[in-house]
Amino acid sequence: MDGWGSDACSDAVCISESLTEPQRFAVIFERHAEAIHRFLTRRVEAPAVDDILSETFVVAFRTRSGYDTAHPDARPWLFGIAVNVVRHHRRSEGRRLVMVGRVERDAALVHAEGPSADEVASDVVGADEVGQMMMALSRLDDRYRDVLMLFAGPGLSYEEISRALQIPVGTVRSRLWRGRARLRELLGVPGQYPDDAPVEGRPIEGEHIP
Amino acid sequence: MTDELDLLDRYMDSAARPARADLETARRRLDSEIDREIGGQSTGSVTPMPESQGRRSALTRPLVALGSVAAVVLLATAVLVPLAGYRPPTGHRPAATGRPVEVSRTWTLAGYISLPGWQITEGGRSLSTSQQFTTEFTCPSVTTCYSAGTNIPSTHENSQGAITVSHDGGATWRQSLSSRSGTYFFSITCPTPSTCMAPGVIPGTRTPPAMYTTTDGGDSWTSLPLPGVDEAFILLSCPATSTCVAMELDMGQDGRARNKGVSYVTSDGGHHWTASAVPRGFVPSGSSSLQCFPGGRCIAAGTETAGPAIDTPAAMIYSTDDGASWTTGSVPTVPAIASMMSCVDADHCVSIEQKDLRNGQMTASGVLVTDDGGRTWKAYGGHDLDPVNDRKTALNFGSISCSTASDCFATGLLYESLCQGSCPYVANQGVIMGTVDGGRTWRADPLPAPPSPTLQYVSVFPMTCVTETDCLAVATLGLSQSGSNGGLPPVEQDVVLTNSGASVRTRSSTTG
Repeated sequence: MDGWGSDACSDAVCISESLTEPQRFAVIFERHAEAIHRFLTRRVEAPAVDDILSETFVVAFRTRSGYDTAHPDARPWLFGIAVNVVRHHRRSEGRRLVMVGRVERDAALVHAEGPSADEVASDVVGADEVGQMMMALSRLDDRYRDVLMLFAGPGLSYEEISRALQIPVGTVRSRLWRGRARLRELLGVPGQYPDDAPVEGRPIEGEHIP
Repeated sequence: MTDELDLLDRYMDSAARPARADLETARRRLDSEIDREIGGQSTGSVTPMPESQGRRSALTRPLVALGSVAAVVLLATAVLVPLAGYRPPTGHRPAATGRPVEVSRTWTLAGYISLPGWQITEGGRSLSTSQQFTTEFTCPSVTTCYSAGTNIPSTHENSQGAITVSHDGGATWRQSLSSRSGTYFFSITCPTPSTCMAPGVIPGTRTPPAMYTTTDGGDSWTSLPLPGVDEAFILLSCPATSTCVAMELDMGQDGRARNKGVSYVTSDGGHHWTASAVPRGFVPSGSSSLQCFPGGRCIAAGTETAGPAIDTPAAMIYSTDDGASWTTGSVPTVPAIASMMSCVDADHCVSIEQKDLRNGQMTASGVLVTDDGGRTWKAYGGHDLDPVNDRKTALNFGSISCSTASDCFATGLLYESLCQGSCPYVANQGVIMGTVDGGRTWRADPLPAPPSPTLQYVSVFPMTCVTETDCLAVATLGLSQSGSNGGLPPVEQDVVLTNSGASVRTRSSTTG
């Protein structure tokens, strides 16, 4: 399979071309697999990353005919698929207590013993800080976590997150704001951020922030 | 000043860059997919996977190695029929195989655990899509069933704990209890058809867990605080309307699962609780892993926490005084991440042990059986709990329920997306396996035809046997090839399968 990452076409063009030349889709993998992988290492337990990454690109390939080529950058689309695959993975895996217990325990053991990404990361970010952040994120509601992690990790804009998660931009903003408030509380970070109030500051109806 | 977003940025940015090798698995999968399309196979549509493709070959391949015509016939009938997934129900009766004569149990779709939610049009008809994900399910009578789980109103809405009830054997359901406060229910126990208890936790709020009780068949619920913390899963078993035993599995600040070394007992319906010590290191596996009976016997299945490996030895404890004191059972060494246990009475229990296969997915490591109330256990290999029998395919068990000391059903899901590029992607498949000899041997049961050819049972999890001939299970219907729709909101709904009225099995004198 030639052409990995060596093509100058935009994502949209490559995807469009892949409809008649399927191997063109390899360019998309080459460009974005690393970013998706890094996102996933922060989103799911380590043993599941490879499989979810695989599934994300297989899903993307199979659904590429629905890609809106008005958007040259495919990252929001790919991250949106990744988020849904993660969600699906968790529904399958996590519905039983035993699964939850196992996952948590495995994660703890992997973290304690293996050369995990978090340990590598701890060279850059303190191990305590990593652990604190992992714990805080684990306690965040999914909808806030998705928005926060897409905003901070791959650095998607409000509009791109909106496309990725198929929610209005206003909802992205309010979830980001609320998610930050909740994260701040969980991390014990002091301070207020009056300037960060969402443009559409009206609370989301029915939303509950634990 | 460093704020939470700076910290999150640093955390996300510090994720290790993957080595090229880390991406190879995904690349191979994609290559395979691309090659498959170039090869002219259709993709992208929600249609049944042709049986002549990878699914069939993946399932038949290991059969060749068996070298036994009888075994091939048996497994072909028991495995291929249910796992083909798209076949209509056949009422299939296995041919004579030399095994004790038995008639395959037939499962039918009893109803949808429906809640207001999505509606999708599938095959020209509208399906009510509950988006309720059932974590526990129990039927204290053949007509009354309770389902505890989470309700997901829509794709991006917060999930909420919910309990639904059916009074017609699972055919129709109504919401009985819905928590607006973020409560999650992970188990439900019913000493009588009208009296049930469900422990609920509200994660991350420093709110104590609560025991929700109904005494009127789910028409109303009251709650009382349970001892414990909000980060714990509460295992609860109530052998009588006023007597309950609770065990706490603490997820802890570090995310590590551990037993807090204590259980709680109430004899006044939850108004007062008394703590008792549980053997240190014992970690119960799940909500059904604690089972108590009138007379004081309780049995709990789990694992030992000791040891560096993820798979730790299976462990069992029992009590003869309603959980006031616990004793460790004598258990053969079987590696286990988790156990699924069912006790048909205070003496007879069967537990399936599971170990890690790869990538966090599991396979059976053995079967433990007791006939003395958990004091001693014997182990079976559980080799035929691998329905594909290739030692490569992951089968995560979710539930086991025994209708007699020798008759049990186990449920789970078969992962088929891990073919490492060697077969086309297919969705997970729900599995029901049964034993008629107390766990020595198992076979897969056929599942009913899904209501549409574009749907399949992607999992079967909670199972409950009410009588010797009446068992019910919660299965999840999902789009076949659901992975190909991962970019869209996943459409799944929980349904009830039952073998009631279809359990015409000739018992062998050598079983039971």
